[in-house]
Amino acid sequence: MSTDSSIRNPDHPLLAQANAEEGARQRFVLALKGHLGRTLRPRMHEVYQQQALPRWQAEQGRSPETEQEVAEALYAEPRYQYWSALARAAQEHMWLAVAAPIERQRESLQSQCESLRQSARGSLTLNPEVAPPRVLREVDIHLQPGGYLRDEGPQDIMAGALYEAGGNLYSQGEGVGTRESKADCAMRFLREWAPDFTPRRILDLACSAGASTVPYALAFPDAEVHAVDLGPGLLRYAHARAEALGATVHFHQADATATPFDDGSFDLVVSHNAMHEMSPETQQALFAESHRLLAPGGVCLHQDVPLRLADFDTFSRVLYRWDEFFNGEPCWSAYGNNDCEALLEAAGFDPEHSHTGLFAMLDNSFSWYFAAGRKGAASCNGTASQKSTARQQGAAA
Amino acid sequence: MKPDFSKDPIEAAQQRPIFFDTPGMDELVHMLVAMAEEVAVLSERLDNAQALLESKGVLSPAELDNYVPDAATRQQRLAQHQARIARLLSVLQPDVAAD
Repeated sequence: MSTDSSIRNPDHPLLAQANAEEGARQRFVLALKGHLGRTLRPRMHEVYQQQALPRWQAEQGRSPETEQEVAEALYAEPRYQYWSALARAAQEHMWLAVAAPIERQRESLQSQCESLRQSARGSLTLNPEVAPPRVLREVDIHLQPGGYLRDEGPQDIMAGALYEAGGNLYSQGEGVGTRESKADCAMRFLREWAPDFTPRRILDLACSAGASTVPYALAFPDAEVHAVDLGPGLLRYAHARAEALGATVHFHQADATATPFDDGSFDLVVSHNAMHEMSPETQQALFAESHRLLAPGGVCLHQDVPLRLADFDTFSRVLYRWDEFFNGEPCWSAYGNNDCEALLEAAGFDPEHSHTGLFAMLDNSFSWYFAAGRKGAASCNGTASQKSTARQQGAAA
Repeated sequence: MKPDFSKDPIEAAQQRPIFFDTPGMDELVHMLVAMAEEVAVLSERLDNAQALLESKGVLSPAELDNYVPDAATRQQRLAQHQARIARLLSVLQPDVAAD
């Protein structure tokens, strides 16, 4: 697929190039998803108010109250049924369009990965003993074919290649700015929130294809950077991709909530778009593991989409939960309903040295949600913990 | 089909959802999307060919209207149509569509 040379989606030789037909398919699904997401989805409130609600009221003699009742009313409407079926088909076709050039160039991409990894400055340590959680074993997250754990042999990189290419196409469609990566946005936040802080050992938890790991390694060339994920195919790709971009990163197949590292062995622990793929228990364990891994004065920063379901009315929550049931986002509301302030505190972070809330990207096209905590007594700016008020923007994946 | 919020969404993820009450409608929507995608691909292909041919001075748009393919080309077209139809109806073969 085509790429730009921006920081968010940097160009590199492991990105499969789309030919004319593949490019046409990708542009088509981009247009279709854009129409469904930005033109039709906002109209669903109208469909609910004008058709679904009166029908349910006439049948039941009262208004729907719970999310389940609102869903019963909404999902009975043919226009919402069409939207749902089209949105599901569009997501499946997006993956077909993303996969086509990767499948066509699979052997050459694999051999490029192999040669990059042979001359590597970073490393890859796989551990087949690691047991992934049920959600990753049973669900293809975002409907990505084969899921995050896809592993078709010792050279297989499909999970990582699909993840990156799908993400690149998705971010084009969502209009999320491409001038600043999530990690660069997080580092800008850190410079404001903890200006005295320069990490020497950095860990990226649940790193997927390593797109957020690389900017840390490039920004802190003197730091030792490690990253963990559960998927071998993600990690092989992530390692080769990091090498292609000139970043030295040590990748490990490990559970983000039970890493093989010693207590206090990092001074910056991050995760990017990881929380929303985790059950409530795993999210709590992620914060606890972050606290365990940090040296005194160290910082954890967990970034994710600005989805705070408590800020929405019942109808909007039902609309968001479509992704949870039908688009491979089973932990969507587990994340959207979580209380990161409480998670931080329960993990041992002092609320006086924690921060939760939105932080705008450089071009103001989007805001990310950050949950940050500093271990020990080191000072940081904006000491009072700040409660977030998420804006209702583009949180559906 | 509506989501059952009392149930684990991991269970819901095990099968392709059915949104319509009328059996078969969901598959029809998939076919419609596949069909629209084929039109998009063809439209781009034709635009590309016309742009290249015109820029090289090879033909005018009017000449395209009078072209009749020979037997070998017709066979090739048939194979293309067959591949296109397989893609169009891929929703009826979930194993193939997921590849």
